[in-house]
Amino acid sequence: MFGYIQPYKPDLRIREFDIYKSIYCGLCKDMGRIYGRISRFFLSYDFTFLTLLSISMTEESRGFEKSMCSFNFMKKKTCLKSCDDLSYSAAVAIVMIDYKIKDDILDHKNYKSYIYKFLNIFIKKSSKKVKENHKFLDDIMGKSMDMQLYCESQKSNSLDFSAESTATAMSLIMEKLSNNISQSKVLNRFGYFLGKWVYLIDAIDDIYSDLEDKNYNPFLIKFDICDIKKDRDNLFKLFSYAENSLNLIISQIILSFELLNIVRHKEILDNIIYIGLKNVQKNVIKKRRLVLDVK
Amino acid sequence: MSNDPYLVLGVTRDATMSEIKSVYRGLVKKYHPDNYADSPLSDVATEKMQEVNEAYDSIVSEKKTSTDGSSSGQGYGSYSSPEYNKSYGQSYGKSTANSSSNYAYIRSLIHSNSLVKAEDELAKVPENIRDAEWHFLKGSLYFARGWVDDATGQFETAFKMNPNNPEYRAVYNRMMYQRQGNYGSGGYGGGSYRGGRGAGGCSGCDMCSSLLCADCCCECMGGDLISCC
Repeated sequence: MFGYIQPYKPDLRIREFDIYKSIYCGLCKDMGRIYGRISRFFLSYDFTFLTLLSISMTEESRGFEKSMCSFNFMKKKTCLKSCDDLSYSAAVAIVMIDYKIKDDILDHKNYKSYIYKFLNIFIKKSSKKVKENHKFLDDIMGKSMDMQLYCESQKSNSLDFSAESTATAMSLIMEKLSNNISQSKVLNRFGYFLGKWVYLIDAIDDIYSDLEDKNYNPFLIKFDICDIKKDRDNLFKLFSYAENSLNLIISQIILSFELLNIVRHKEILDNIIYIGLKNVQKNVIKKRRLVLDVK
Repeated sequence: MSNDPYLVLGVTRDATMSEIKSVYRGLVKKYHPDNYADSPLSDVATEKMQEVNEAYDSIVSEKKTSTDGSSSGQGYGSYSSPEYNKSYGQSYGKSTANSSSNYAYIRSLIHSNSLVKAEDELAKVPENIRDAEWHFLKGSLYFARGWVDDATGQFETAFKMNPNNPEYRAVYNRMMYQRQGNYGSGGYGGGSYRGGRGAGGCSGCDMCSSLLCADCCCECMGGDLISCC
């Protein structure tokens, strides 16, 4: 579910990449500072993006500082100074991972569920802290999880219906980035489509494991697929349909993005939104389609 | 946001009129109402368009007074959104004129973002008399809610039931255009990454100087690329 929102690195300028990296490092540091050392391992690109968007929309600029890296003691790294944007993203990261692990425990019935139960021990203390400081985040994700379970029980073939819970959660998390009413509305729609895209690209990424474990996947139901070899033609249709649907969602992401008041770092955001998402999407679909060519 | 017209358009103070014009045209394309039809963000887009128009108008009048008598800014009036909206509204009115008044009511509900009520009204229509307009409105409803994939299906049904309706065709085409991986509504392209970097960035001068450079490098290594120099 994580790591799909990332820049297309070859097209980033070096100074842009440096800023991106220092936001990543700043988030890592802040997560460690607030939620303990282990929480750093749950860091992903998506939350870096959330921080980047957040600092790009505030009028006053956030500072950067050189500081020691826990993973590389020999080197000092430039990090974004600790600020509200970072602590918000850190809280979002913890709460989303907490619910993701809970969801995985329910999804996997075999030995794998024990791995997730083991991971759950580490996140428990951090998520308790989030509940104290950012209660609404826990409420958002709690509601989203209930809705997700309901959607899965309906076995719907609608991509939109199945992605609704993730999309709504993201829209509510995003809209908090601005106090301006009209910007908040744009952020809500932006987050909605971004959440929908993340859910569906994850569904494509997991398509074979879901088929094997007989887990719910809207694409498998929509194209009535039970077996890789038997339904090979339908799988090809599935991938090209998925690509078109995801394209449509990206174009909606872009339309909302263009209405945001971005004050700085616009080029990095442009890279992620205009070409980064599409690049990830292309790679995920290509990787899954290749499996069919081998069989 | 600041009210400095140059910041709104994103141009420097010493930009030439033709530069400003091309930036302005790009922004008009970006915030064009067609891109945000049926979206709850259409009012934000209209606001942005107004901001851009005002900024452009004030820059044009400023430049006019500073270089009095020059032709800059003339012949290209600012994009007038009220006029556009009028014709937009008219075309909508026409297409609903011959359908039942209930559909017009549902349409107005969708446009004012009362989606739950609109859905109730649509559900009241018996299944055997659901025509192209019904599917089109269902599609608009889904779209406004953000259910773009299900919306495409409804728009497709509406278009197939009545391929002659220009409105169904336009919306269906826009959906298909975006599904192919394009932005905007076709004709009105949205923005692009670094204004499509790489395209048109190489002039005749660049090519000559690159060739000369390559020649020098070759000569350093003992070879030659352009024998005459």
